[in-house]
Amino acid sequence: MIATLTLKQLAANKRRFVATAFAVILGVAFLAGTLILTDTIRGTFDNLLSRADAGTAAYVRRPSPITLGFAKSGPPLAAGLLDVVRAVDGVDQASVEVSGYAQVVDGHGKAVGSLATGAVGMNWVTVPALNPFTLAAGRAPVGADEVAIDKHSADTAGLRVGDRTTVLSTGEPRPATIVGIARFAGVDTAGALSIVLFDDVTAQTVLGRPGEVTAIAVTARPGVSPDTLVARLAPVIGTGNEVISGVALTKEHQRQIGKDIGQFGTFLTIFALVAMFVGAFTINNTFSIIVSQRTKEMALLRAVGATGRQVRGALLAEATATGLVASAIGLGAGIGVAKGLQLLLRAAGIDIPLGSLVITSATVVASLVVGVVVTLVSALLPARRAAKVAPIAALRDVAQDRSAVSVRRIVTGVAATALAVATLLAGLAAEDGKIVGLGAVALFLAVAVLGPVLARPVAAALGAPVARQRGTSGEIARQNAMRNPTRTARTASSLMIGVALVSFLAVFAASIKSAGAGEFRHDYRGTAVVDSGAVDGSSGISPDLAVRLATTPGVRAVAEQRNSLVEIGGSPAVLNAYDTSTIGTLFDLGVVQGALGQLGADGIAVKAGTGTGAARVGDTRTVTFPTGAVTFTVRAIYANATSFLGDQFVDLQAFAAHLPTTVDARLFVAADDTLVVEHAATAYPTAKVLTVGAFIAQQDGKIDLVVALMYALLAMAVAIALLGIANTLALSIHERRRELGLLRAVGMTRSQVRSSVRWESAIIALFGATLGLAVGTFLGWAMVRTVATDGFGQLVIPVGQLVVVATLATLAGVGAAVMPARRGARLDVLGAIAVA
Amino acid sequence: MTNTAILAPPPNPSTQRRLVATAVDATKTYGNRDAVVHALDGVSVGFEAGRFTAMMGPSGSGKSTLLHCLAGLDTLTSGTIRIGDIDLAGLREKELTLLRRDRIGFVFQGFNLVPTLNALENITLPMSLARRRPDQAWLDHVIDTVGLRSRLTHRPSELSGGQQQRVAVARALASRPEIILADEPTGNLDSRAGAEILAFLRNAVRELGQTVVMVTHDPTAAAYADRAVFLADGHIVDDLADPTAATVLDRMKSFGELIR
Repeated sequence: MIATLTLKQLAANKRRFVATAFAVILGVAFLAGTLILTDTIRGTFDNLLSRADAGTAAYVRRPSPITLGFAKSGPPLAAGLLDVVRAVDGVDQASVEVSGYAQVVDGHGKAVGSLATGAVGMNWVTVPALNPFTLAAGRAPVGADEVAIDKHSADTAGLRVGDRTTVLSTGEPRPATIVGIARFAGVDTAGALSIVLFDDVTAQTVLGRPGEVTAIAVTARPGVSPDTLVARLAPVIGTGNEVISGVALTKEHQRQIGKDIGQFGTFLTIFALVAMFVGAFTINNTFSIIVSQRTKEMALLRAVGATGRQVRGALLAEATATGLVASAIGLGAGIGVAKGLQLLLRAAGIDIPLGSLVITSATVVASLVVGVVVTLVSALLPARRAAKVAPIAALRDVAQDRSAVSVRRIVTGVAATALAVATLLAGLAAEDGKIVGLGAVALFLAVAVLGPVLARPVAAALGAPVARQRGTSGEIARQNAMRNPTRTARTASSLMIGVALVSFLAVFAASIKSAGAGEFRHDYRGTAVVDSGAVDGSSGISPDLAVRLATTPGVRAVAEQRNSLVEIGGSPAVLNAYDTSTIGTLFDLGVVQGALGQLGADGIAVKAGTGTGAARVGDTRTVTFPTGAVTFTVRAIYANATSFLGDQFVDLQAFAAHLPTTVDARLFVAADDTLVVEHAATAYPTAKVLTVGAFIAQQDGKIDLVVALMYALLAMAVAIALLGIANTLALSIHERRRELGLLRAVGMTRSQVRSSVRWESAIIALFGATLGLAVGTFLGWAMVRTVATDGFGQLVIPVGQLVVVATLATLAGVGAAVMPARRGARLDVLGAIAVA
Repeated sequence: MTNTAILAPPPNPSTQRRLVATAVDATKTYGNRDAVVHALDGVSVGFEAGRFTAMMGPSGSGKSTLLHCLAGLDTLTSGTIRIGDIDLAGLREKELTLLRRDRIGFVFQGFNLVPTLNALENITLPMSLARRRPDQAWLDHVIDTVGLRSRLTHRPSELSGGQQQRVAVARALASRPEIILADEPTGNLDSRAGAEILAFLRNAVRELGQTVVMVTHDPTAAAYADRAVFLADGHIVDDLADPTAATVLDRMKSFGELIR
């Protein structure tokens, strides 16, 4: 009986269904789109990798003591091992594999590929079964001045077979001819990596050291299983080396790529969940309004004998049905969102080639479950309220819900806010992202609880100038925004969350940009920075540039910076190495103990007060390189140091001793004239010569790009919030149609009605934006306080930007009111007055 | 037809008075060709300045439709309505709205006031919508006449039903409209509060020179008027000068027999 009623209700009130469903559809679409995109990328790579390694039966290499990502080479293997491997019974063919850093230069002197997405040099494996590459044009490279490049790079850089180019790697730039264009496992690019291929000997010379290779890949004779081969190879390859099967190698590659994709997926999913969270407010608001509008109907049900439980059950059933249908629609829309996200990422410079879309059963289940659960949870409180409707209400005129400001609400709200702030600060202090997230969610909920208390006075204040400017339409707008503080607050809450996150990002970005620039200007003694944009030491600028600059007249000092992926205390980190004979003249480090000149190959400089307790000269620190663990002795402690130098660093000698090859990530230079540096660097296209101002601007630009991507991802949450405002207004107007009819009867024109609804929306939106700015600025402050160092971490509030955010939010609120305002203005006056 | 015979000449001594509102051959039909309902079937009537007219008739007689058409809230199928010398048929929606705002005062049966505005704001609403300052002396006079001085800052929810209707009457009077249209203004009130409102309306006509047309089905209410016009089935069936409760009741009885 109740179920029938539910379905009849839904069918009879399509607009109400649409209103609730929209928030669910958008939220689920975003979530499903994220999952579909992630699965599709994963599927594409899994497929690629298994094809690339298909011919490999066994794989010999030197294992790295630290976890390395995909395409990051571990310690080298002696090339001579190839003959030993070939002699093993069951081995059909074997080939060395060599990989490292290399890039070619296009016709305009620009390096092909990006150091952020990865630039790799490899040998052209002459055993076809072991070579993941196939030629799309030309032939395989042979000899010291021939290379082949991947088709994607060739196409984007406009390079063709026969073109002359320059190869950039760890050594001097060297001229070469492109003799071949290759495809990787049947596609044009291996996941946005740019690839340069050499013959075996050239690869060793250019990418590493002659006589050293990355691995040896082996095919099996017919009838010999990979496991048998692995068992036979294991005893002969020498201690410290390992052999794994081709299948295990594929699994490992898939796991490495999967980890990166997983992190990326998590990043996107967080934004999808933010959108769902905002959607929950919208759904809750819609159901609350529906319950208050249907009070009479529910009271009638109660009067004719339905129990409170049945009334609640009917509403929850309606929520479940709505959630299910909307989630299914959202799932379908998710395919479009996946495509849209791909375009967004492409716009941000992350171009991923995709196979056909992968929609897993996990995606279907997750989308439906999240959609239904969020809808149901959002409907829980309104349903409880519905169950409490007294039968007598059927006979009474429904009183407006004005129960906004109660002592209980104020006490609960203040207590919840205090608890949320405490959780947030504790999470930040413990550097635990989950607790920080929990604190933020709690803070949003607490502010939402307090919202109704604030809604009346704030709406009154915000509306006062409107009423002054717009006369009666303005005053009516203001009064309508104030009349139901709970509704106004709930409507504004969803926008509050969006604006809070946007303004948090704005405040945080402005603060860290200012701190970074401040620190750098304070500590830096050089005049320019030569930057490659490389991040993890696997690519960068040839060290030859530093040598050349050191002898260039007009250059006073050069300090190289190299990076390496390492593990410190079990967690992955990037360790910097500097030329410690010059770094002290280029940076005001504020050395408080020891001396930089004494680092040598086994010394480390540590920032004061970092790590476990205060470091002292003579302490030891263990760092695990890809080649093995090294124990360093603390020989210097510095107090200043910008965040560019890091919490600890070693001398270049240490890298030379523990890493096979190295390239410079950055050069810090003091010169009489930047032009001199620029001139010297022209032969090194990856080396970007930047003045101090330009370097700071470049660092700011990196932050801005990430923030812009986050803004774009938050747009969905903001869109849901705006839909919520439109929704509430439409329902409110329906509720006030008698009043509107009266106003129209006594002479309010249609344009006055429209103006009034738009201003009401503007006041609600501005209220939400104001709350959001307050919460966002607080979050920014809390975050900045945590990362603050050296007195440069003070809060910077980008007032102009925040004013723009608030203005945009308000304008968007006005935009959201367009349709409801039109509906309100078109109201049938007689019909509205006649409503009993 | 008899209707017209009754109407012309109007059985009223003051035929010289200006007509504030007129309906000529007003017809309003609903439905399609198969099932036509005549809410108004060729009604012609004039309302003179400075008089209080009651429009009476059973449910469905067309009295409310006529009132709505006079107010520009509803449109005729054929025929003409004039307020002063303005033909409503020639007006666009916005012009009708401005006409209601500037030249007509309204009192409805219930829900007369905007709940978010206080009594004074409700009274001055039509003028505020026009962004016009009210005539303060007149406003004071109206407020004192309806006895609302002490309630001006109260919201409608803080006023009794009778007080709310007094605010509505004050609003109708405040902008000095050409005509006040009242749709069963006492329908939701007890007899004492109702009598008060009717007395106010009569005073508005007698002392302030207003013109009032009131729809009612209550003979006692009609007795406050100078004239009672009776409608049935979309026709005017009688027009009575200086009605009393007894004469009105008498007429109603005879129409009741006539119709059934």
